[in-house]
Amino acid sequence: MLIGVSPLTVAWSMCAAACGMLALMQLVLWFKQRRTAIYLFSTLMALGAMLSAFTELSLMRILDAGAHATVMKLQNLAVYLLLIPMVWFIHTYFGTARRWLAVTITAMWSVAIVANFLSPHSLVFADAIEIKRLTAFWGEEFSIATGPANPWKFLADLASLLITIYIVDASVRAWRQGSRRHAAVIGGSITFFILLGGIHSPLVDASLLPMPYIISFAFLAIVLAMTYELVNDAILASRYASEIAASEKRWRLLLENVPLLVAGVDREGRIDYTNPCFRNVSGYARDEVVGRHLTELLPESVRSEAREGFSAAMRGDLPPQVETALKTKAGALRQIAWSNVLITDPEGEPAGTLSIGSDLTEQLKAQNDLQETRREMERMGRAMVLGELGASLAHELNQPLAAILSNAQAARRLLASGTAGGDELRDILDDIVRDDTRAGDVISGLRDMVRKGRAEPGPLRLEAAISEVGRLLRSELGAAGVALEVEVARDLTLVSAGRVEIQQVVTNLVLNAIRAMRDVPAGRRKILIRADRIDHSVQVLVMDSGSGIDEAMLPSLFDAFFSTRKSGLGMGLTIARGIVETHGGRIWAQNNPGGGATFAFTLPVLEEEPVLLGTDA
Amino acid sequence: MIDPDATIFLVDDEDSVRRAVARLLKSAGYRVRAFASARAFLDSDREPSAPACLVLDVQMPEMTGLDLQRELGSAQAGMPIVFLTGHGDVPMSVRAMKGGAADFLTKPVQDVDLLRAVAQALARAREDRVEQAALATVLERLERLTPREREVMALVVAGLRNKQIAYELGTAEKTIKVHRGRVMAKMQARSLAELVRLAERIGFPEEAAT
Repeated sequence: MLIGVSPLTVAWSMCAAACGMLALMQLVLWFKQRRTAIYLFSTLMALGAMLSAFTELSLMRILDAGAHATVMKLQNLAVYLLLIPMVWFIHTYFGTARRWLAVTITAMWSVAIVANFLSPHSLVFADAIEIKRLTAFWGEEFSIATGPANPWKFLADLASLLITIYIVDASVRAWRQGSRRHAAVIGGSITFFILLGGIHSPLVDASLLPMPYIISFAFLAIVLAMTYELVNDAILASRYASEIAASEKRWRLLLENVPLLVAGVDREGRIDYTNPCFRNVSGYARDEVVGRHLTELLPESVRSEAREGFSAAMRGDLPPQVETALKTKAGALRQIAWSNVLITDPEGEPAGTLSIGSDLTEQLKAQNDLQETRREMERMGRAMVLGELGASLAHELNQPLAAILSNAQAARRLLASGTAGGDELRDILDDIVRDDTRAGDVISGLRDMVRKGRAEPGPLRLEAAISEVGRLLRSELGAAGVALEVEVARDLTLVSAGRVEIQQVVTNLVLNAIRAMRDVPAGRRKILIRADRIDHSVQVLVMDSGSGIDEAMLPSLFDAFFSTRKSGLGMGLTIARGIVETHGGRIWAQNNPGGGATFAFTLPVLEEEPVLLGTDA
Repeated sequence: MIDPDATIFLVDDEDSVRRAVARLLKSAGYRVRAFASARAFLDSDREPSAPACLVLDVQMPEMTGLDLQRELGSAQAGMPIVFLTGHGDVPMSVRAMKGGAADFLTKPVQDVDLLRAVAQALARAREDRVEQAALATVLERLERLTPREREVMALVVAGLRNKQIAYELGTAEKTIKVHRGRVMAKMQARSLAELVRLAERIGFPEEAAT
């Protein structure tokens, strides 16, 4: 005996103590994280290993056959306590083990453990054992039992074989799925030590190996390997936690400072997150908005529609982008363009939405202002055209007024002289009525031209609009000695355009043509307006017989403030282009092969013939 | 007061205005002949037997009122023009008046203004007619003089004495006296002063020389 202590006692006691320590550690972990069954399983395993160490030590010391049977029963219970939690530990930990195999193993071992306690001796021996004393090489004596094997033991041996298969299978599958470390450390060590224990014990049982059972040490190794992995996992988890915290901080920084609205909504449609930008724009504090239904932040008119939209989203049909008005606490409306993502729970069911939105209100307002400015420019353009037409229009108004005055005064004279015939007076009155109507038409045409704002483009009959321009410009043309001819194709359909705008374009082009022909001898000043249908548009040509356009000027003709005249502002063609392009058409100029220039523009045809054709009457 | 034989020619391209103005003039008792263009007017047989005037629109296609005035030239003497314009500016009216227009009115025109202008134009036409008739008489008389008598008359109205005329023409003073007596008789001048006045009226001798 070495320095008065028994090495066997010391070794097995230390093993038991180590197992107990590990058991305690796992137990603490399990208490901290009740939901993690894995720690419960490892606690049980460690306790099983500890019990096994005690019973093995006891078996080495025992001399009485009766006591040996009792301790052997406990030893088998210890093995059971270790193996079965281990099976379920692997099932939980890898997630790749076969459940039916685990259940089978558990059942078999449970039957075996029942047999263990019902047998006269234990699961290992049938009965009538003989205890032999052997001597270790350092001189210490220990007991070894021999006897007939219990037939039920094959069940336990079979189960142990199944465990080996079960673990190898689970490890291989885990390995294939990428968890190579876990597969190697846990699967590898367990397999090795199970095989070690599984080969060593039957040899001892069969008295082929004259040494004590060392199952406890195999068990200790297994529990250590598992503990090692669990500790490793805990370290990784804490590292992940800090990474997640850093990531969370990064995202939070973004969400809290980005000038975009962010809102989260739960499965019920209740707002559960808003970022500061959202709260700034909406005017609500966090407490005021969290918990509200998202529809409460929308204008009343769209609420029911939004409710249906959200139900559809919760069935998985969420539009990735949507534009809505947001009603602020103050009652104002902000136009927001949202991008949405669906949040799903672990089962893949919709659990809410997360949306990020940009406030378009200012942008839309700027666009509107721009539009307003352009309209104002167009109106100014019309006023300018009016200014240029002033003399001509005055003439148009003056003529009927002059005729009315003379007619009325003639009638008065006829009445005064008593020579008035009824027929003559009726003729005079008819003429007065007609001239007055004509003056009224000129006035209303003028009113249309200076009217502020834009008429909605409607179905427009081009020939009517063009001939009205011809009428308005008649005296202008007459004074300039220009002959105007209008050719309109028979199959010309309606176009979708504003009458006044298109008349302004035609007026501008005709006035331009008149000016272009100042130097042309009087008899040769001609303007031809031609309208043809070409595919899905109508093309209007204004051709003059002037000297044409300098090729170098063609590209800049439609630019603002470009004018070949000293007196012109150079806005006429720019405005014309603005109008045509707003209508979805295009405008250009070219020189005619036979002399003179052509200004042309297109307008899209109105595809559907509407029932009412009243707007151009 | 209104001469029923007087004719007003009216040219305006605008139907309604032409009809209304024609009615007004007719209601005042004038005979009116209306034309829709300057060309139609020029092409018409318009030799008036009685005093006439022309009421003319300025703005007309092809040939404007001012163009017509120029075309008529001196022929307008017997037919004063009253212009009627939609919007008259100063240069336009100056041009018209320099061209010999009787008046320049803007539309719409008050009946009294138009009728006054027309009456004045007709009065001028009448005066012109009298004047022209008188001139025609004097010219007729001048036609009856022999070339020698014209030479003598030219020197007489120039203020030369018989002796000086005889010296100038290289003949006897007696002969000049005879010529002079014939000139006075043929020209129906009772005195030297009257002969000078007749000569001035027809622009003699410059006109006769041309």
